Amino acid sequence: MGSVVRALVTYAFLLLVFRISGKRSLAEITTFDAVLLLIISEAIQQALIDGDESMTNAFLIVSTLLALNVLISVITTRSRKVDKLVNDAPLVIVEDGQLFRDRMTKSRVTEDDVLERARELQGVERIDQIKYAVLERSGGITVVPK
Amino acid sequence: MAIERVGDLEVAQDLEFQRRSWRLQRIGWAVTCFVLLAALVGVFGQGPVSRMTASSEDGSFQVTYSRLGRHRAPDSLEIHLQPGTIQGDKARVWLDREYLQGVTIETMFPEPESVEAGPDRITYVFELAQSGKPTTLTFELLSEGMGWREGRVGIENSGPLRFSQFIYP
Repeated sequence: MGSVVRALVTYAFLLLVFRISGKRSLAEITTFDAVLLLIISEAIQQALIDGDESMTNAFLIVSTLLALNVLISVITTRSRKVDKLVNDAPLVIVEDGQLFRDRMTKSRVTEDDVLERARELQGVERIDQIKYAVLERSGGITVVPK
Repeated sequence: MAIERVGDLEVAQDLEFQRRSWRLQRIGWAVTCFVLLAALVGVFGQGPVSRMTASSEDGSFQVTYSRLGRHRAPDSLEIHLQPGTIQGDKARVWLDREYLQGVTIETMFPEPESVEAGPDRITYVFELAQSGKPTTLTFELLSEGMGWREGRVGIENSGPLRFSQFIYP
């Protein structure tokens, strides 16, 4: 019983914490972010296992986490409301070369981030060549050139 | 369900939802800061707020304990004997069995000379170098489980001293 409850609580906590920290938090993984992810998993591991190093415990925890993931994906495909709550919604940050500055500040995206992705994806040189730039739910930026 | 349009773009943007989630995020950050500050002062154990010292009714001994502890986290229980408490060269300190069932004793400093198991209490017998002098007995332990619990400590004819703890999961 303990294993399932621990996995459940941990899943809910991580979901909440990552939603609060915003979609840009760990979107493009820098070296430091990778290290941070490792430390986070290391820190949460103890609470998840709670000194029980049996295979049964490990299997129960993995099964619980995967079951929750499947359950949530089933719910999110049926309800767009829940989908938005769990996975967030995309946000247009550039339209016809015009930057939506307040949206970008609040989502912690800079003009440089947009230009970087535009060069990378479309070989775009300037902001005014961008028709749309969208901050996707994953935290990545996609660009449609003019 | 039709996907919303922004200009030529079919994108499920929802500005109202976005505004609400930004607001909730701000609240979330504030709550996180508050929780971290509380943790720094020891609200979640292992800090100045969590340690407590209680004195027995007749003042013959004091107990320093954590009123806020954590599951399987190192903790300690210190029993301070006042001068003149112990007649003779042996201190007989007991803890109630119910409390001991909720903790694992890692080490004791000093080591007791002997342990006596009673129906509802365990008595530890320590040898003292000088019976008239104050001394401290330390139990290094791990709390198990979660929730409120009560412990009782006594010395020979003095006590019991009751203390209560909250253990975080």
